[in-house]
Amino acid sequence: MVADVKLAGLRRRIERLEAAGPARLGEGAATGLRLGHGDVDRHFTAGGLGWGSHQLAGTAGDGLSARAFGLMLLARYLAERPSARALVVQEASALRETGGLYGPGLHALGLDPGRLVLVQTADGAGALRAINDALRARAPDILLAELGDGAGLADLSVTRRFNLAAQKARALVLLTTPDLSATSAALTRWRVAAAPSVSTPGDGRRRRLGPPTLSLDLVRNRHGRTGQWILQWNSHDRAFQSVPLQSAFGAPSGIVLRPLPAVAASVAAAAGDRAGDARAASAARPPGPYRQAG
Amino acid sequence: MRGPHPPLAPLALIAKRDNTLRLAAMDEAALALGLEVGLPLAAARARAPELTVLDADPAADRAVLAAIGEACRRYTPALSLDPPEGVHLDITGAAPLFGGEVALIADLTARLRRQGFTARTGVADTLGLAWALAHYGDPRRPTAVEALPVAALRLDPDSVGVLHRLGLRRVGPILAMPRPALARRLGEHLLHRLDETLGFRGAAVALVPEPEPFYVQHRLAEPIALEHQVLRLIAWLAERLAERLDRRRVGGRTFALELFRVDGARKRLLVQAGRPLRDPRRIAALFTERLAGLNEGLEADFGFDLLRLSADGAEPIGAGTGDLLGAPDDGDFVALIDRLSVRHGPVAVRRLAPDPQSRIPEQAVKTTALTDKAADGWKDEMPAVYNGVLLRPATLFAPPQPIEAIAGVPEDPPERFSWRRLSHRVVRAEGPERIAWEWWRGAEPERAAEEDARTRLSAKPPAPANDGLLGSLQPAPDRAFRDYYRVEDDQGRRFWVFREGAFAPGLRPRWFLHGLFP
Repeated sequence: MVADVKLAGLRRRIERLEAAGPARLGEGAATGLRLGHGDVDRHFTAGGLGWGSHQLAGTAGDGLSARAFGLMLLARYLAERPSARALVVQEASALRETGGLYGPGLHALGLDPGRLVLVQTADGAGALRAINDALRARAPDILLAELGDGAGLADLSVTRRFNLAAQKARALVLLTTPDLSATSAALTRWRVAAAPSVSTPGDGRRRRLGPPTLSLDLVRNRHGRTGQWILQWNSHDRAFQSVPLQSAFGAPSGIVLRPLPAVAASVAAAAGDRAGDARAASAARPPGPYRQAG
Repeated sequence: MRGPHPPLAPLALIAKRDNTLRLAAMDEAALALGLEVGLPLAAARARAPELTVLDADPAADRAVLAAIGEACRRYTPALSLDPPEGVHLDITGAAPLFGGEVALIADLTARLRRQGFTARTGVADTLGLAWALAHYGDPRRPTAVEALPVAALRLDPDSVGVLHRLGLRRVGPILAMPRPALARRLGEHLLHRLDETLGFRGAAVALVPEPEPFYVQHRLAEPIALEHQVLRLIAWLAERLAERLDRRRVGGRTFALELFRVDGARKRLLVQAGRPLRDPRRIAALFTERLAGLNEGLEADFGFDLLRLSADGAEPIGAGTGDLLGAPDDGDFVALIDRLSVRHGPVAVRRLAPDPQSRIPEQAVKTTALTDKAADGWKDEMPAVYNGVLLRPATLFAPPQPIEAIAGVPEDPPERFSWRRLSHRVVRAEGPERIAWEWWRGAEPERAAEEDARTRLSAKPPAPANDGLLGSLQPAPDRAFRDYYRVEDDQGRRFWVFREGAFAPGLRPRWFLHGLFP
């Protein structure tokens, strides 16, 4: 029993030290929660999101994508560190807007829902206080805060405070907000929106859905460059991947590049599908991620 | 009885007995007018027109009596209630702590008087005798048992009537009578009561159990009212309590702090810990948090003169390892969880656990306490993902949100739908996935959704049915199953929608949005 305690404690310390690694030389901020996508990770001097707070903002009418992005980061983090502690602070208004977290869906994203401790607070102030308490106690390793109406309270001074506390505790704080309106000292600020998914061709009449797809606009990055991507989430590897082929450039596409030898078959299928695409594309506005990102 | 003090008007409480409104209780002023319990209200009004009359409330009386009893726990833990008006305290061995029986009684009556209660007290070696003294004794001088009226033996009115008819009005003559004759006339009962009163026979007492076996208390010569004083005392009490818990190698899950105010009021604060706890600093920290969260403040008024800290739900420390909170080296985390639970309420701090039994989406997952092992069960579940595509949404609305949808027949996904006043054009869809309600479990899915909604913070009230008159004329739709579709709109947003019941001609199907996919 005593040996267990010691061993587990040491393991956790090693995990934290390893994660911290090179960052201890720098200003103590950086580490690597990598997104698992080479191009994105190259935008960070330390190779990934650093200890501190990060803001994931939704777009008008789409609060879910930011939350989902946070959950995907959570899934990556927890998979890398089996003994890490995760806390999810939820403001009631955020839940009203986009629904409560649904266990089977999180599980499908590659996240073990049982490892999340959910804390529901009546308002934004309560949520921020819970984050502050958690950081000061140095208890959780990663925190996801789903803010709604109270997102405006997470201003410059509050986020700076979170940064300092999180760096001291070597923790990641992911703040999801409905928009980017409030000022923030977050190390990175993302605008997250849904993007059309890409799937294998359907039966021609109506196309199938693909894996979760997000349009990510990194509008601010304290430790690197900014950038824009449309990425797919791979639940199995818990990693972000480029969206196959065209869809990043405009009309939703049903074509998928697959390393399959049956070229002829897939081309034929794709051709059949493209006819349907044209119909859909002419009616649809070009999907927004890039325009919104500007 | 609690009343205006000093009495402004004669006051009486009435209750219906034998089909007549009769006086059930009254204050001293009413007594002085010659009224008595049991008098019909009409007769009482005739005798005393100025009488103020209120309805008796036996339940409230009972509650007040219980509160008085609890307040008396400052003298002894052995308490039993004797409704409608009696409180029995076993002060054996406790009296010297308060300066003797006389001082204890004086303190007790003084406190009750300050609260506006009049009390009659009696102290004796047996419960029966104490009862007799309290009800029929003369408070100013010692009373001999023999001089007490026969009613002091706690007899039913019929027996008292019989004794009176026999000319036996005091206990003394009864004692002088041969016991077999008494037993023949009045039954064994009388002898039992007599023996109980005199201590020849033990009387059964139903003690009001004191739930907390572990407690420490501190009596203050000078009452304290300031929060930081209270906190310091809590920290000190927590250390004492931790010593006791440590001696038994247990920790408490629930801690109660009782603050006895000078005027007799008692404030009780509860905090709960995620797992058995005996670290005094953490116990004290929980109360610090609890006090900080009090809306009404400490309500110290004139101060507290007795603080008692107790632990409940004692469990061996180290039990329950293996759950989320039980993993070693997580003192900080558990402490944090306890803090958050105290501040936001234990229901606000939860985990998600799978329910492999249920196929109804909203019942496939339940929120549960952190220590519930069921939440570790996700590893045994198959993730609802096929070819990288999620089959279940990341968030779920409870209850499902009604939407306006346009769909082909009979089982096409919607072409477009509007939700929250935004119109969505569907460009991709999959389905239907038919989910039938689990008739073998009883609850219909929609009813389940509504129940779920009531228990969740995030729930919005279900929208009223918009069918109006037309709806009432139409046959009720078949709600036995739902056809779920995963759809994506032209903006790339993905939704989980369902149609309720089978398509039927002439019936407008009801559509709902149930969840969101990333």
